[in-house]
Amino acid sequence: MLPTFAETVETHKAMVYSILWHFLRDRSLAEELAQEVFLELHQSWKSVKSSRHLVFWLRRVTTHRAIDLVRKRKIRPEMSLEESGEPTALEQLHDSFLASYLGRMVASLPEKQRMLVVLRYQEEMELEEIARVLGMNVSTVKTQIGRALELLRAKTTHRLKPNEG
Amino acid sequence: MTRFEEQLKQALARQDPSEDFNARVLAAVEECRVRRSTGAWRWRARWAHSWQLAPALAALLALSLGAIYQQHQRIARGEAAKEKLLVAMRVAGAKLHEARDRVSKVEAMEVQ
Repeated sequence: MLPTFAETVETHKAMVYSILWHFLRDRSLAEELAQEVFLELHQSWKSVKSSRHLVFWLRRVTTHRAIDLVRKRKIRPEMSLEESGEPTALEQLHDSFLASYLGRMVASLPEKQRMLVVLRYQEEMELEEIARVLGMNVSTVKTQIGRALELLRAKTTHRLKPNEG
Repeated sequence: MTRFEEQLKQALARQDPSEDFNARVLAAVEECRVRRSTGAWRWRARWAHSWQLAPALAALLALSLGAIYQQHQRIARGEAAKEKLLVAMRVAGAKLHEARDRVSKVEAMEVQ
């Protein structure tokens, strides 16, 4: 039994909005695009077969819309990995500041790797699921996530070390 | 999952959009629905209006067909008249030729 459209918005708004926010790093743009995704869902409502299909549909449309937007508007990350610098002294004080730093680091990844990391660590999706949503090979997904992690880890690993063990 | 991946997961935790998000989505859906239904109504109205023109269009079509038929008849009558004229001219030509032959024969007899 499918939920109503209003219930669907309530249930999945955080998922759609967060994918877009972590990918675009622009709250108003993320909200605007999330609204468009739900409008598109309303227009395709009859084609939704099940709750599982609904989640797949939302993730697929959201990720493709986000990548299209970045390519169309030639949006570049606010900073490159090199420019993102080290966490400030304030950021080292608390996990939430570290999370903010990592969020900015993710936003500076190349677009495909960025989306892969968002789907893997925000949505906790399996590699096969990610491959289906983005229309990629599982092996490519695995390799790209590995590369993205290497890039992120290289930048932050020495900052995390004191917290480990 | 490594500690780094755990940190990443925390950094990418889901967040809610602004509080009025649901209301804005539902308002946009409603606006879209109204716009579509208004568009459909206008389309129907335009068609209904065009059906009122059907008798006038039928009359125009009948008049055009009548004019074309009359033109066709006129051309056919003209062709028939031309044919008759040609036959009459051929007959007259033959008779003239015959008369000239007779005159020639009479003149030849008078000379002898």
